[in-house]
Amino acid sequence: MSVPQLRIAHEIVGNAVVVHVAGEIDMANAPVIKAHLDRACHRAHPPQTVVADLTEVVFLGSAGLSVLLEVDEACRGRRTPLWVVATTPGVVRPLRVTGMDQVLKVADSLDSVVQTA
Amino acid sequence: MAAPDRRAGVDRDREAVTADPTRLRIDHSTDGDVTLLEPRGVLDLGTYPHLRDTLIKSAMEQPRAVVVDLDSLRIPTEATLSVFATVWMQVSEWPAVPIVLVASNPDDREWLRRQAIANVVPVLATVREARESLDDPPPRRRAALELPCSPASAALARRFVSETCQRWECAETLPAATTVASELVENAVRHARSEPKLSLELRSGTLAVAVYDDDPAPAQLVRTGRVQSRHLGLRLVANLARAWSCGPTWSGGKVVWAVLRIMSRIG
Repeated sequence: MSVPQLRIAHEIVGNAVVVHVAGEIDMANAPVIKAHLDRACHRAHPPQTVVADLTEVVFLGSAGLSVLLEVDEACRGRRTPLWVVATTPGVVRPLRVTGMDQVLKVADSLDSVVQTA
Repeated sequence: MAAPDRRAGVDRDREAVTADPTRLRIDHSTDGDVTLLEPRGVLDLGTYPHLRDTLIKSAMEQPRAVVVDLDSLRIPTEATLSVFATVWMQVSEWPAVPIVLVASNPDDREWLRRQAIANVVPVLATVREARESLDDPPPRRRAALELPCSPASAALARRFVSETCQRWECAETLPAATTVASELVENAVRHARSEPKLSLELRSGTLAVAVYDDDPAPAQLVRTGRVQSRHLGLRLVANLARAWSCGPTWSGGKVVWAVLRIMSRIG
């Protein structure tokens, strides 16, 4: 085993450009996630939103948290806000522990975000 | 050893500024499972870091105790005695190696016992007494893993923590332990550019996660009001752990460790 397993899929749902991520996010694959989220950010046009659907992510380390902060800033600049869908303890806990749940738009289900969008 | 009241005619501030670290030599030997340090020379602001780092490095080797024979050390001002309290505070959570001072002169012992450090560091007359004063070491289990200098090491570290915690029946600490190990290993690879060594240690009530690297530059957490993408790793570690710190090692690198509270008991 080397780089942690990761599955990524893009989808347009309603007014949202969604990136579904499944697996573990750490320094080994954070740049890959960043590239996918950047792509979604560039595909989206106001009033569309970008959604990082982390429902199936079981580990989110600081490298992944940094990516979310950077993509959030880029998305704000383009007026296509980033939503993060976090349901698993491996994602919810690091967001809470670092205070990032107060900085990012965090939702507890994809449906609620897509409806918000 | 010479306490302040037996020393006169020295401009102490001037001495502190111009102090030459080579004026403190520290002899290092082992007596069974105990490490014996004999500092020879003067303890002042110039030599303080040398004694501090030597004490920490010695504790990191995890002997049963570090015994410091003060008979050949001159201590012009009692302020520098804080080196023992500083080191005690840094190592008391982990590796929790006792530090014991030895002074053969009864007056010196009395003087030392009147100082604040005596609350945390016992002062005894001989190395033998120091050794006899030690409690039995607490029961513990240890496991270690050497990793490559690669981004893939973080995932390897998480697997190792997961398997070890399950074997040790402390799975309730897994999420925090996995994150801490992953972050410390990433820092060792990214910042220290080292092949990290991950060490886990289970004691009654605590799990220590320690990562050794080859870079002596200490890990530092910059506390800022707002969330920034830098330093998130150590912020995670600091917020998940009961205590964390780092210290130099004899190999010229450092060890960064975090202590997690657990419910499991051993022994």
